[in-house]
Amino acid sequence: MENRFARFHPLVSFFFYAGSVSLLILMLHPIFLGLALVIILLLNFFHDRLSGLWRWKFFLITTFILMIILNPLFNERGRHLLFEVGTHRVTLEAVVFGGMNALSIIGVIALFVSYNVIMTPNKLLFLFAKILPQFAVLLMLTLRFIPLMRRRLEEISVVQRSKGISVSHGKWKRRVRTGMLYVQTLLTYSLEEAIQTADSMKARGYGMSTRSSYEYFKFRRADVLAIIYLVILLSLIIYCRAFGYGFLTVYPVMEAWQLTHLDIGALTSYLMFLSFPLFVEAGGLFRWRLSN
Amino acid sequence: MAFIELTNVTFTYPDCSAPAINNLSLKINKGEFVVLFGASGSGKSTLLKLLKKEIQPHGQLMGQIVIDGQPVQETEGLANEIGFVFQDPENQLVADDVLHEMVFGLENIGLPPTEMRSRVAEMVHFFGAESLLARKSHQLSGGKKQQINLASVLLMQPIILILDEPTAQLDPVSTREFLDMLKRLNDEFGMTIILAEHRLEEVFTLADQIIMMENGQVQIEGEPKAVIPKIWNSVNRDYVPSIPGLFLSMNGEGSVPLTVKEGRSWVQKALADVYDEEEQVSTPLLDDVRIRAKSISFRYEKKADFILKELDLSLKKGEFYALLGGNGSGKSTFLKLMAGLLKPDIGKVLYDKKPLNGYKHHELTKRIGYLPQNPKLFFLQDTVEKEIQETMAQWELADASEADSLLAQLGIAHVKTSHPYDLSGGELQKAALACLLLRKPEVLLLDEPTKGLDPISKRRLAEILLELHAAGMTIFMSTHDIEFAAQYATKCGMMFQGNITSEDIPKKFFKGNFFYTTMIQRIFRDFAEKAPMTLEEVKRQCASTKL
Amino acid sequence: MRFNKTVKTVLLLLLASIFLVLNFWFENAYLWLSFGFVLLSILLFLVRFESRKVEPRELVLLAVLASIAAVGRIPFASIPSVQPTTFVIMMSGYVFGAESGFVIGAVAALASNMIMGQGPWTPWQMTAWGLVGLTAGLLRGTWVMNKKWGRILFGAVWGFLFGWIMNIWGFLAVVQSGSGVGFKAFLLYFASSAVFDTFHSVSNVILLLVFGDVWLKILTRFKRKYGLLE
Repeated sequence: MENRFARFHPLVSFFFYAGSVSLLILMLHPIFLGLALVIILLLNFFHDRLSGLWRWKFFLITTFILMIILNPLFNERGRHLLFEVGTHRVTLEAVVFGGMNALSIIGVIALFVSYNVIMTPNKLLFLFAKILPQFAVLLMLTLRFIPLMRRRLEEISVVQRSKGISVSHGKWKRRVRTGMLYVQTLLTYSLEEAIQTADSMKARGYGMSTRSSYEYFKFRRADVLAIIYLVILLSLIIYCRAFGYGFLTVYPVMEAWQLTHLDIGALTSYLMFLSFPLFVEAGGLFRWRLSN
Repeated sequence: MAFIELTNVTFTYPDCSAPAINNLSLKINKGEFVVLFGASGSGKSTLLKLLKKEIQPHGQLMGQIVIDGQPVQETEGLANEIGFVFQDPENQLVADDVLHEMVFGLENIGLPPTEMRSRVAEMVHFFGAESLLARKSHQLSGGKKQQINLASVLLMQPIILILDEPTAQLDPVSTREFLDMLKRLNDEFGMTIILAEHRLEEVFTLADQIIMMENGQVQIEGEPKAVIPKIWNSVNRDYVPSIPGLFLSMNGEGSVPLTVKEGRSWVQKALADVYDEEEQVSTPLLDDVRIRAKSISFRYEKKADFILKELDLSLKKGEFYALLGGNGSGKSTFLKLMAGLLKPDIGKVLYDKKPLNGYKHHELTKRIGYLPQNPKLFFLQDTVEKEIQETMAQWELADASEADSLLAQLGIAHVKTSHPYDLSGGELQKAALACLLLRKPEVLLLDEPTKGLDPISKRRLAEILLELHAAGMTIFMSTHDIEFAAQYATKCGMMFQGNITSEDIPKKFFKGNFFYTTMIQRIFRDFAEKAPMTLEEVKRQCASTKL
Repeated sequence: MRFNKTVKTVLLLLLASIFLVLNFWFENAYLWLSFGFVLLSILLFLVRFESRKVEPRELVLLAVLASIAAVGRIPFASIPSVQPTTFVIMMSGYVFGAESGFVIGAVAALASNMIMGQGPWTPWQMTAWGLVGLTAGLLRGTWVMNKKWGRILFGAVWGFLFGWIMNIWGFLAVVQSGSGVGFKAFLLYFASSAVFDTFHSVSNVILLLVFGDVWLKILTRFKRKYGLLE
């Protein structure tokens, strides 16, 4: 399915992800985090049917379990004793706190999985070109060189194997030496060749005047509206957060989980912020239905 | 005043006593197509780079270079007026995908996006490259990469286009395509083109002016037809393509034929009865099979298409086998499979009737010498000498004098202490060959050994290979070079879509072909049953009929 | 041009101050604080890099080194626990200076993550490798780094430092918001990564011992060839 959110200006996407990550690590409250995770899963589902997330499953699960266990293991603070292992107190506070952190971290990682689908290297490059043009060129060159270097390494290893030199045969010491000789050959060879790359840049006028950029991404009305929407919501949430709402105090005494009015206000804004891409997809789907 | 004018230009690189360009004067008119050639080290590249301010090498420059009435040294650099395309298609690319590559120059000169877009649209249309725009640059073939480089330069709308051996790394079909593009630019847009190139047969018909350089000086210059006899009588005789070569070696009269068409009409008049010759008795081959591929199939990744499909081949002892075929037909892959560097997915490769995986790694390497397409990656050490020492240590060889005599035999004794990357293409290849030959392999596998070599180095390579072959070496090479295969191989094979579709001794092999055959054969095709294929054959026949 | 630069500086300062004010507001949001801090300092370095006009040759050189650092581990796929990335960045920083060193490290991390997939670790990796290059460049010319043993010591230390920097965000995630995780946990957390760090450190030492001098020679040769001698 076509991805409507991906068609927004990169700045919008970038702002959304930066904001979402900040929210996930700032708004430590079980209800907030739980709902956020649901939304992020939906987001991933819409973007790539969870296939990206599936690749991270092992990492996500271990992180989750580790974080839940780790906190109660080291932390005996809290009033509500759940049980004791030997002399070690396992408290409700510790478990809740560990759980919140676990949710927050895997939420962030899941968000990055979606980020990797939406923010293609081109978009990031485009953003960099706007604020750091010289660095953007460096990044572009590096991105172009990485696959080249990989292919060259592969070639080096084939050619060297034909000479009887290989990293998979022989003693450990010999293999390390050979591997490093491969990298060294890659270095000398590539630096030798790259002079021509620099000449070709110069020949095409690099550094003569301020670079412009072939605009792929126009800032359209929809982008303006999106930015306004996101900025307003984010400011609201941060305002609430600064006064202690949308945040569960666990230590020294755990608050009740109940939400005050302002908490609910923050939660609503929070969910509206995170669901922004979902709204976009849903709107697109709706319009598509209408036109058919 | 000429459009481009060089007067008494002398250029010396730092730390060099002899000048690279020596008191050179030259005039080029607007709209001309000029071809520059000469052996490596004759100063071609230096001369071309001097014409473009931005990439002038460091060193001492004397004399005057004037372009369009403006001395080059005094300009700020004319990025968009002079376009420059370099030799290696890969090295010029700066972006990960084609579109970014194309607009790189335009971004540099700060062109507004709307204008960029219309220029790109136009250029993409001219090149018919719509389907390439979204591709990653590293997925393209060498020929396509070079076209993108050209497009990127052309987008800046240059008046002069300078190209430094742009087709040296390309196969014949891509070369043709690329040169046709240049011809269009020259014909239809009046662009002034200066091209360094050593495959003269391709460019003779395009050029208005041909310049031969030697030791930083212009040796010969003029129109193609006038220049060829002069080249024939110079040290660079090898550069003369086969059709004019035939003409000149027969002491033909009248104007020099350049194309097959001209060649045929000349042959009809002058050589009407020289081509009836008895079939040459080829040296009998030993019937022992050295390497045998038994219906092998191979693909690089699961789910990908097979590159080789149920391929069968027998390489007999003492054969000199040339495998021809288009780009991407799987020649290089097959060579790697024969050397045991890749394993077939289905089928097996036998060496002396024993499967390759029955050999230990070093046993196999000892027997099979593999010369890669890019010999630069062969060297791990920083001098040729160290590489040789390392090889001798690896194979427990003690006799250092043997290595020295081998280097002398190959004619590269003088580069022993040099860094491999400081050698010319031909020298580098020979140095790699020397390292291979040290371990005395029984079979040599060569991947496109003639690629990028100038005609003189090519002839030296042929002599070396023939010598080895005469001494009993089994040789298998992949090549695009039809003339080379026809002249030296004992057997030719054609690779097509992952299979060998035909193989035979060169004479029979090329006789059946219409497109894929030598220039000489094309000239003589309809005249006789046993049309000669190479210049040597014609000469031999003529000698025998005259006697 | 000039205007553009001022705007950028002002924006950067604004960003930094917003960030500080927010931190003052939030209690104990260490993780957020650290992320913001790391990102801002990377940005600061890059803006600095932007202020100097870098010639194409140097730019290409930096890109080659960064990409080699990024793919350098491939030949060692069958040899666990050896990887030359840190070594490459360190040598580059040592030969080409602190700023180049930082940029090479940061770009290597950023670009390889752009291909492999970004994660919350990206800024930390950029910082860690950037600092390897930066410190190697800053310390060149000092008597420690002029000695071979000094460089080896440097590599050994960075094997651990690198691991620690990469651990910080994980650790902060655990301790954030006033939980009372103590010093003991801190030690344990870092000890758990000590095995990896030791391998990293040992691999740096080995590579520096065997290849340090050769690489120094090669890189210096190219420094001259690219015309980058100051």
